[in-house]
Amino acid sequence: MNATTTPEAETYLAAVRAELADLPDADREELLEDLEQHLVEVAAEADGPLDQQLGSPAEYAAELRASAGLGSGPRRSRFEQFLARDVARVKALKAHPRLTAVRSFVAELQPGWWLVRAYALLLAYSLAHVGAGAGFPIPRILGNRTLGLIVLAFAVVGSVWLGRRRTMGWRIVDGAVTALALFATLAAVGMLNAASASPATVYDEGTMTEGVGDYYGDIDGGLHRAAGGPVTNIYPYDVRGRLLHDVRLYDQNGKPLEIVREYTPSGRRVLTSYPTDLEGRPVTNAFPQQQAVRGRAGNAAAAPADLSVPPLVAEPEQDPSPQATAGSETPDAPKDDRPRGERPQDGRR
Amino acid sequence: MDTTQLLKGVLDVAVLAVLRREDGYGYDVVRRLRESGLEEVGDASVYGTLRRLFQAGHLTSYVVPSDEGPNRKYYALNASGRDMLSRSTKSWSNFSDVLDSLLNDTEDAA
Repeated sequence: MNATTTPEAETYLAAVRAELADLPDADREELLEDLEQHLVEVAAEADGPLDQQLGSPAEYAAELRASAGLGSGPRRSRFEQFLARDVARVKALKAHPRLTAVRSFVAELQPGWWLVRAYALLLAYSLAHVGAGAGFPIPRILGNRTLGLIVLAFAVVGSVWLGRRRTMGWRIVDGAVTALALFATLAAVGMLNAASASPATVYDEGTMTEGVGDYYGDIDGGLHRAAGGPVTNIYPYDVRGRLLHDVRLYDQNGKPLEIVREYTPSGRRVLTSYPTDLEGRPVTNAFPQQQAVRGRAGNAAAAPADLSVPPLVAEPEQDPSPQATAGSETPDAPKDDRPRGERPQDGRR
Repeated sequence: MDTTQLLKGVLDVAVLAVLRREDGYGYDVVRRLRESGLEEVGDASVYGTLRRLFQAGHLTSYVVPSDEGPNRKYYALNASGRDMLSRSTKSWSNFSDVLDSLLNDTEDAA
């Protein structure tokens, strides 16, 4: 017998063999020999699932042994018969043309998946180690794109090789790699999304990145004008046009606004004295800041003399002084355009 | 009338008759039976019948090697088989005559 049998035929043969297990070996082998030839003829003649053409293996075996005069075999319990029917039904379902078409389509997609999973694993690794923005679309290994490409090529080859293994052990490994790659794909997508959502610049303590108008942050931690150099002090005025003291300012993220002024334009060192909070810690965002130039008495950064701040409220009212912790403004001081804020050491300007 | 039941009774003689005309292998006999009008005959039944007739000594078998396909096992009537066939043909004729007259009687009566 030099017939080549399909996997389906093998399954059918095996099933019939099982049904004839109670027969003497010689009888069974003769009957199966006939069946082999029969299967070959059927395959040559028509396509379609064997169960449709020949009936289930159980039915075939029963008919075969009955017509061969070999008795109907051991009585099977109703449960066994029930099982056999289900098995036959499942097998028929498996062989259903539409399902077969779906399965063959999925099989066509498989090589594509082997490529995708190699890339996904590598990408996830790269994103996890280098951080977002550095590994997409070509993953970086040790920060290197070329190395990443080489490793990717090896990974693709390895993935395809693994996908084509047929032994059970390798198929388990293949399944594990697929599961890992699916997880890595989700993780990679998540990481990419997070990267694109966060702001491009890092927000640092004391640095304003998004300024109002033409102000923008700088590395030395101070507020700068786009044209006009650094901001060295801030003078807050109330609605009545009076200078406020020790007003603490915060930005939109709740971080204290900071001014760093270390030198005058002429190069002299500037010393800033900060008010302290109840625990003795310096408060660096209280404005206006008291700044003194070393070697010179007086507040080197007092409000400009020609600063005129009109009130925002029409009628003057008797109102309590808006002083903070260390203001020296008296409650009923006359309306004065000149900024106050004298300190004992203030002398000449 | 359920022809499958009838067929079970006469399958032996049908197979013998097919083989008397020409030797045949399993699937070939199935095809010839169907072509002659016995469409309901099951493949497995034919194979099993051939086996049984062979075991009973009414058939001989030989294998024909083939290049393009599998080797086929052919069956042929031997003397015993031919004898069996002629006896069975006679009993069938008798039986069908009896049944014919029985059916016609009832028709006439009705």
